[in-house]
Amino acid sequence: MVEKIKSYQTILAGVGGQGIIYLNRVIGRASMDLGYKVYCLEEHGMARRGGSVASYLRFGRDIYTPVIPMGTGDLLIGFEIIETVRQVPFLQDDATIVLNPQIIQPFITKGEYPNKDKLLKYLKNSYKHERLVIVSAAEIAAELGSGIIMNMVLLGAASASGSLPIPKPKLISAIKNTSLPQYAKINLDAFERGFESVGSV
Amino acid sequence: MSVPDLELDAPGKKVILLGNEALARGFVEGGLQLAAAYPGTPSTEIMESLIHLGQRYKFYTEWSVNEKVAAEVSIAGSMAGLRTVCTMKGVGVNVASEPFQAFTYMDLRGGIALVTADDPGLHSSHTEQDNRYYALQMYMPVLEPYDAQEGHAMARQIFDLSETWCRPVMLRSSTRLGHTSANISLGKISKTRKNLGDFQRDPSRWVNLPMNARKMRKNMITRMDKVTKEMDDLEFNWLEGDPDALEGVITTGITYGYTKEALEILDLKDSVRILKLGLSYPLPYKLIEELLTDCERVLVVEEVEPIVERFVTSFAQQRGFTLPIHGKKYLPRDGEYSIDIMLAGLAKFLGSKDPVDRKRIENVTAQVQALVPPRLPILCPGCMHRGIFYAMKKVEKKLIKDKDQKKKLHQIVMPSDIGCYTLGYQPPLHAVDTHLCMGASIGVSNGFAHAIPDPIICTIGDSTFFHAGIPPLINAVFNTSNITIMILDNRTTAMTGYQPHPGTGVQACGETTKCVQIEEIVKACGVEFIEVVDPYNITNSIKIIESALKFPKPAVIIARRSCRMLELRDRLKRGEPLPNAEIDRELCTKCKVCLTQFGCPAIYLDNGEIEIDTSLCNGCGMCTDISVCKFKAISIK
Repeated sequence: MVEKIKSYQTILAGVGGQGIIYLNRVIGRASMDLGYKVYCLEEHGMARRGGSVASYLRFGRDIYTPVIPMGTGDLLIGFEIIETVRQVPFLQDDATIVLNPQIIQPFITKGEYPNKDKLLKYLKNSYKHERLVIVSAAEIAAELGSGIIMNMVLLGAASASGSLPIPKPKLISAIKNTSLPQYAKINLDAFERGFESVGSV
Repeated sequence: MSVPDLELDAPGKKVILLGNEALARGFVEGGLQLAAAYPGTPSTEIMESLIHLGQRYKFYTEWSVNEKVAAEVSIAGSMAGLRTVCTMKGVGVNVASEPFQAFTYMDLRGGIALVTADDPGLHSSHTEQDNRYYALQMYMPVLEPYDAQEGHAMARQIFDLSETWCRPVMLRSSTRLGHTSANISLGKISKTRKNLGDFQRDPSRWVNLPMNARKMRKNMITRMDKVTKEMDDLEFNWLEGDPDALEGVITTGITYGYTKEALEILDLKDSVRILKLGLSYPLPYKLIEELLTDCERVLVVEEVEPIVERFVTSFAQQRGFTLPIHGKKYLPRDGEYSIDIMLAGLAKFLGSKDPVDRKRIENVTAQVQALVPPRLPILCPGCMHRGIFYAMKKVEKKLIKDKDQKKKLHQIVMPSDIGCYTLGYQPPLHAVDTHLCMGASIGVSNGFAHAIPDPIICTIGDSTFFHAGIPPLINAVFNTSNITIMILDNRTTAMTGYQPHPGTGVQACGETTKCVQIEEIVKACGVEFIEVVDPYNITNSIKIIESALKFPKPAVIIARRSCRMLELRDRLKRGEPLPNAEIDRELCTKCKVCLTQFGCPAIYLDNGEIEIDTSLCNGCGMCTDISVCKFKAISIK
């Protein structure tokens, strides 16, 4: 029996329509199955209008609120670089970042677009090599035939990173239990591909 | 089809529900028989869940035309002996307050709950108003859950409490509560539900003429005094922590969690006694007296207004306590609370040190802000509103330039309203000059028509027009206000997630119904200039707006086209591919009008060249209008 952790903070960041809410449901379900109390704060309202989406998921035995304190995040799963960098102030120093290195430019009428290489460099300088897991999740998902399963690729990578304190079989059964029957297989395949991609780095 | 967790008939099963779903589930487990609402973030999912539950467990639900009618529908349910709820966003209570203010004088029959989804932090509202003030005025007890589980439990009991107390009960939720999902243990839902009540004629009870209302008011005061006495034994209020602690903290609703976790981080949880309030009105005075007796100092923690703080202070004064009682001295009135805010406030109050390295966080925040610009919420690619706002701005520019005008004009004033189209405020459109509340676009335009010399064009959405736009339109005809009213009819309540409204011909549960035609209403109001335009035809819109401005009385232009996001959803379902815009490099002069004036998010600049982001473009074709690209460099492929 694994000792119950007091609290664990996950941040998911991206833009509307990338599958963040479903990923939350899977992690939430797995933590609930482990007997934890779960809070998952979802950003609603502006999602479909191309705005930032961030979601804060906490689980543990001793939590009372969904809002995480600044500088305490344990794991940041980033679907997009700009939004990932935006959430960095919520992370603690030895947090893990699992990142899909894709950039979706915001709409601006003046000034310069953020530079992808500059943002990646910032992350690389701020986080130790082993704690910054870069996975081409969008590409892997496309290879498997559907961009929308990028979320499961990232979850697989997060699981392989060793940061997420949920045993792999628990995540797999949570995927099975929350997927619509017709999507269960492709979700599980995507999870495995994400998991393997980290092992092979 | 598998049954969603929300609707499962499986008592004891543990599931994850959104806070708003948990509230809906609680109401139904508590015997709800009728529900009415007007959509509004962060409350919308409560009613959406109730609609699903109502179809499975057979009770009536409706999207009402506005919050006032939703309140009246649920009040009628209570008069008929049914258990009812009406839900709304915080500012919706302003609209619903009149019927509730009257009904609270009466001895209700069926339990009735008013859910106000307040919005500390202003995530999606225009005021941070604390609706507990309404509750005080209305003698309504206020339940304030600290998390989704407690919200579920409170919702389940709310009708029993309302009937026992003979008081409508307010449940005050918030963005954080409603939009947090959490593990919930499902309760039992009774399948035998009476959904028809009976109205018993009793004028002294249901008619609030002054001769009755005087007695009603006395009765209401007596009833509330009785409720106050029950507060100490209610399961949602309790004292915890070391009875010998000299520092006391009173928490309300969601601040309980922030306080608990902040004390844990400060390593002071054993030296503070907490009075956790699940009701912020009325207060459990025995528990308060115990805390005031045992402690030397007390801090009251509540988001937004210092309501409990004032009650506790005045109670202490009456009972002769002299200890210091604080609240807003240490904690802000504005914005929502968090563990971080509590750490700062509690550290100051308790004379300890915030252990978090704030310097590091400030540095990281500054670095990040320098690296990434905000992703502003803007109108979607293909949104019809962009076409209309662009046309309005074109007309304004032409009018200012027009040297033949007798009077020199320098602007067209553009009041707007509540909905997606409020995003016309953002650059580059800048087509929202005022924004107050539902329906105010037309109301404010009425006033401007008699207060300023400028032409006035206001914008209001279809759902908002039905909600509160009709009386000010009649006023414009009645008082001959020379204004142009653009009714932006995208065939849905888009901002809150596509709820039907009277103009859609569909009810909450999907039943078809009479489609109330906007142009027929406008005509019946006495408007003599009515035009319907396709917002995708910008050149035509410009022409029609110009003729409306010349009309000396109120003129109405209805811009009609389905919300692009809804249309795309349908197309995807049918498997239809989406067209895309394409730039002809030879024709493009790089004038950038499409980017810097029209402002579609699918258009961007790459190394000086105008580009189309094909993942965002959905081929609406508005950018091919000659008023946007006069060089005909954009086409749809």
